[in-house]
Amino acid sequence: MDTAIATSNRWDGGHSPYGQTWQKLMMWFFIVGDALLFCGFLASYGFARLGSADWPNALELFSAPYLTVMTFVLISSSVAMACAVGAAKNNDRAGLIRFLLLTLIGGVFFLGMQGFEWAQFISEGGRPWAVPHGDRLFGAYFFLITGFHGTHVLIGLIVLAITLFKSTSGVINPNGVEIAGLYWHFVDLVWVLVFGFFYLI
Amino acid sequence: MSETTATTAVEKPYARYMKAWAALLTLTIIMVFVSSPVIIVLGILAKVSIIAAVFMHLKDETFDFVLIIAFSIVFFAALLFGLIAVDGMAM
Repeated sequence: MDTAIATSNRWDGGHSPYGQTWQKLMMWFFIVGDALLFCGFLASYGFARLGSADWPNALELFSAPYLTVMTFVLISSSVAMACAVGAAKNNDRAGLIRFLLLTLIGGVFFLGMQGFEWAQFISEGGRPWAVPHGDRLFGAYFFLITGFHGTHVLIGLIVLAITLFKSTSGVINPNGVEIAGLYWHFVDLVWVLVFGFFYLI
Repeated sequence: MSETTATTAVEKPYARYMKAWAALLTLTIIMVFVSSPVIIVLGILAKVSIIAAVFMHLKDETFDFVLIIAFSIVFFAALLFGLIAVDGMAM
């Protein structure tokens, strides 16, 4: 399959570096840039936290079991996405649709839980410029980091919905599913970092 | 012939994904219950590596491809976190 990539069209992958299709290569480059964006957020958060005398304990403001369930849901959604990519490569339309639906349900569930967490924190007085107790910067970083991650989840859900719609008819495009999958796994990966650095430590 | 190779090539990853799933969930539970920051950071690194290697298929890519992707992220992340940590500790 991979050896058949060499074609006369320079955008088909035959002339691209590392034998990748250009779509996949560009998605990886986007992921590198996006990863550095989140690195910047998390490093800046770490700096603010180290310099603060009364940083609130995130697990006193948010429920640990609730966050663990959120993490479970997103990781499981990522597993379903990996299986969807496998099904697409196997040209298994029923499996692809089933796994994509599971991925979507997981993502919607995660986003709903995050929205509920936001609503609760806001009702307790949490704002980007205020917190119920402790350093005000906590509110700023909470809304910045979880907000950016939540936006990534939302964009991922739109991409997944389009992928699902495209998969229901016509020729299955394993390359497109794989690229959507790369993005979705990246969103899961960022949540692992946010969950660990922002909530647990 | 080609059909059988395609099936075995896809069936194997499913088992691999299930193993990765179990490992990720176990690590998550361990991380919630421990309070040591060192163990939590190690857990984060382990989980990130599993997701990148298994789900994002970096394990199956060529070494030079992994190098340009992983090296650029790890190098700049280390630079950011490392330099800021030194500054933060001094405060």
